[in-house]
Amino acid sequence: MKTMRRQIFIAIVLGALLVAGFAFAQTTTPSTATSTRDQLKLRAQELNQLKTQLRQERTEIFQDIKKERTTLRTEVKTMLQNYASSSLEERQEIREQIKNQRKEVKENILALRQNLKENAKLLRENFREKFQNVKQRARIAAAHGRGLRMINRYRAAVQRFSHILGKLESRVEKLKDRGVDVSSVEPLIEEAHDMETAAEAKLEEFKDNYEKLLSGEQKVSEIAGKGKTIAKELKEEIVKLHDKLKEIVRAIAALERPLETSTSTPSSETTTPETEDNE
Amino acid sequence: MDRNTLIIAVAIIVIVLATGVLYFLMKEEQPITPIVSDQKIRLAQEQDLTFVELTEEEKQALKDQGFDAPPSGEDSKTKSLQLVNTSDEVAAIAADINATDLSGLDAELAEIDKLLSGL
Repeated sequence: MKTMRRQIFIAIVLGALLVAGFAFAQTTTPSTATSTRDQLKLRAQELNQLKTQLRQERTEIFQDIKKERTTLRTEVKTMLQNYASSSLEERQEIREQIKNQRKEVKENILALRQNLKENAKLLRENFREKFQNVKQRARIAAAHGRGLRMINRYRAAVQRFSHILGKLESRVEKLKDRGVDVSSVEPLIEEAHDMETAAEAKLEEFKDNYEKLLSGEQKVSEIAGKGKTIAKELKEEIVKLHDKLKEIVRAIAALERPLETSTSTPSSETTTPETEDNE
Repeated sequence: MDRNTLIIAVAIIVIVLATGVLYFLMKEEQPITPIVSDQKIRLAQEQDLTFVELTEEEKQALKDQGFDAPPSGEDSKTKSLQLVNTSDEVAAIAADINATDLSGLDAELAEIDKLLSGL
């Protein structure tokens, strides 16, 4: 009997504790949920603010690059017009000026790249939340992936030409050290550098365009259309750069030929490079 | 074996050993001739473009709509553009320029168009 009474007592106490627990849970749960919701709202607001800020910054950089590129192109053309007839010091000064102007554009391109990198993280964080419909989401992610794949290909072409241009430039420096007049090649090198910079800037624009797919803030048809335009323009820039490199190789070979005939050089150096003009 | 034979045998062994050592030393000193056409490097590309990994559900949704899953792995075109000669001889540079194939850079455009049409 005593044991039974104890069991009843324990059951009552446990029951009371259970009821109290439920009651406590009911009073605390809404406040936790509210604070989590508030935090999420706050986080979303912060992200939106950050995205807007990055977008504004991007627009400004794009405008700067556009302006700088136009100036660069015009001024380089003017500066290089009298390059061959200028003195050695003047030539050096002209090249320094061009280099400095190009540096400004390159700095802006780097800033743009950094901006896009930061924005990319935010876009990926919100992508699945933004596109709830799985069919639509799958198609956008696939199109975005193909866009990036294409950008990588274009990038590899620009990178290849930058590498080749670097080698040609060092070849010209070697000729200069041997006392050869390289004034006919140096303007070509500068022109090629400008084309390279223009292509690099266009590449960032290309990247920005396909990243917009993930934001859902622009019509996909507009993004697809712009992608085609940029792809065409970029291809044209790259082809022009390719042609310019061929022109530089021919010019360098013409400068090296008299040196090779006057000195006995290994057979590998006497090979006359032939560049194909047909695309 | 008399003493003279022993001396001659030792002398022969010393000469053979000395010739061998000299041969290896001279071989190491010979300049390495650059092989222009065979030595290539691959240019490293910045890895700042992150793809959105499709979930199984999304892959299935693509398939249901008649689209192929996006190609995975390395793009052969990109890879071939990244390969360049190591030599800085004009002939090698010209070879790299001539070997550049710019066709098909925009091969993805048509598929992107299909994927995005009607969205």
